[in-house]
Amino acid sequence: MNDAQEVKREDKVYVLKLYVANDERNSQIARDNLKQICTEYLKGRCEVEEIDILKNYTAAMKEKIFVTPTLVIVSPEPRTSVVGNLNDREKVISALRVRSDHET
Amino acid sequence: MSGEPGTAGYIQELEKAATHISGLDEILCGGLPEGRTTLIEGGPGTGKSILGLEFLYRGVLAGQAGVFISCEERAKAVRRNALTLGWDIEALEEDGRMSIIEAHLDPESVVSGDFNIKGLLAILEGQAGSLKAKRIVFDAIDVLLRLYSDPGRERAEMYALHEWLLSHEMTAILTVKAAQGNGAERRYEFLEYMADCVIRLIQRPGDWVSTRELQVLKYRGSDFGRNAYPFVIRPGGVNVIPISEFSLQHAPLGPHLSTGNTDLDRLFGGGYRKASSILIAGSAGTGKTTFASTFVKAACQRGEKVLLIGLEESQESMIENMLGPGIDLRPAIESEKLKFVTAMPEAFATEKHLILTFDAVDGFRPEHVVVDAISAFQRMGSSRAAFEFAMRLVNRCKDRGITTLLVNQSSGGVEDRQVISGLGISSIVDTILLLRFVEAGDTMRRQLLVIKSRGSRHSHNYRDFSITDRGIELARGAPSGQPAGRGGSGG
Repeated sequence: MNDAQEVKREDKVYVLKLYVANDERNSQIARDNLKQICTEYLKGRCEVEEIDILKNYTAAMKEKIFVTPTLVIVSPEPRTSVVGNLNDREKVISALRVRSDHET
Repeated sequence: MSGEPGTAGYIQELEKAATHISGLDEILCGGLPEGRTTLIEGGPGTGKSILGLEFLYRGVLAGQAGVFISCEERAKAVRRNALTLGWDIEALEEDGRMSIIEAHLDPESVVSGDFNIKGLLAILEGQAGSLKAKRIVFDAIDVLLRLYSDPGRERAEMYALHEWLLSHEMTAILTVKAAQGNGAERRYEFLEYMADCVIRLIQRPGDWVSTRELQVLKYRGSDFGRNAYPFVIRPGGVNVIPISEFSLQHAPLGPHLSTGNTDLDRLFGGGYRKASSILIAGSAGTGKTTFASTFVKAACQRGEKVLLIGLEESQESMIENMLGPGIDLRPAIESEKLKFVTAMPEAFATEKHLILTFDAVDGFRPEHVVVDAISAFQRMGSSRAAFEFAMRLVNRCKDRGITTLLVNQSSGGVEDRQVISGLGISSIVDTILLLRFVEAGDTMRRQLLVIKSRGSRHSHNYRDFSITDRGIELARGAPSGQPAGRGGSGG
């Protein structure tokens, strides 16, 4: 129906960075949640880079990532960050600015 | 240090990390607990961040690297504030001896689900490791905690942080906004239990100058000074003025010194005591300055040096006024036994007055210090400022064996005694001499009463006196006016 319209509006490549603390619980949950969100909303147009701050603290310092997990939406602009294990799906989707009501 | 041989047990001395902050190590009996966590709490603007930063800064100068985590202010602002105190943090950062880490969440960021501060710990681990830092300050930890809406999670994260600090043997300071009433801040109370040492900073509002105080609330495994200590923040850093109750209460008093009037000497069992503090109180015109000047003149004639701090009138007018009752202070000035320091209380804050006064005391090295009148501070609507000034000056002078004679103008009337105690000064002085006017028939009589005289026998009765061109003259015998306010022990 309005699928074509939506693709036009959201036809952008998403560059995402997920900062995690190794396989600590919230980091694992975030990883799983992000995978699902990407499959569901951003299929084929989503690049995810995962950074383990326990291994690379300078990256965390540069980006001022002091809580984990943190998802940084690098593009499309504006740059936004989402902290937490991404369990609140609605908030992640609105931060990504993709339509959550694409079924209707 | 090991225990004395023969003492019951060996007391494990706690390792201390010296703060190198003027006066603070004295109160903390050596410094903060090494490898442990200290909490500094206080309202906004009380100086928490500065105290934390100075701990790091002085530590760096003494060879200990440090990391400052700012949860509220920008690193730039921290550096700028430090610079106003004369500390070049940036140079130390470039040297790799100090580091400032901003730990604030972008206010635009979205929160979705649970998280923890592992990132911060990783950054800390890395930074502290590369600097070999053992001193860490978390400034405004409450702002960091506010990320969590759940008190249970706050606690869990703080305990995780505390564990990390302990296991890395960090000497840490957490600063937190003080609990005010039973509001939301109350929930950070658990930090007080967690920390080994808790320091509270207080700023007294409402006065014409702000008065800062520092108080150690707890120190696990160590003794500490238990008073609220006034402190100042000035170029160079924090300056805590330790006032030991003991020095006020147990300082030995010196020999009797003539008050400059033989009748008055008799009243005090020989005169004022050397190194004691004397308060001469009374309403306007009762002769307070005359009593003070009588003593000044006598002391200078004996060859003792007197520093006179004039807060009410100029040197010239005071000298002029004292010629009336026949007290010529000019020879004392010419022989450089008497030195005047005059200042208007309105000119500076109490702290500045104190520092100037202390400098004058240390420079001139007098035997006696006279202040005419501490009530000048009160005139500015702050009895607290008057009290602070008196307390700190008296303490300082006692430490150096200097006599302090404070003149205080009370508002007058029958409540004189209450007025004196209301100022709180009565508790810190050794001797109080009260002067008053009393109506007797159609004349006004002058009367004096020794309210208190530590270390001397003294009369408990009012005595009539007059001021003539030969100075103070006490009337013989019992007063003709009303009897003494209270039926104390017979004089």
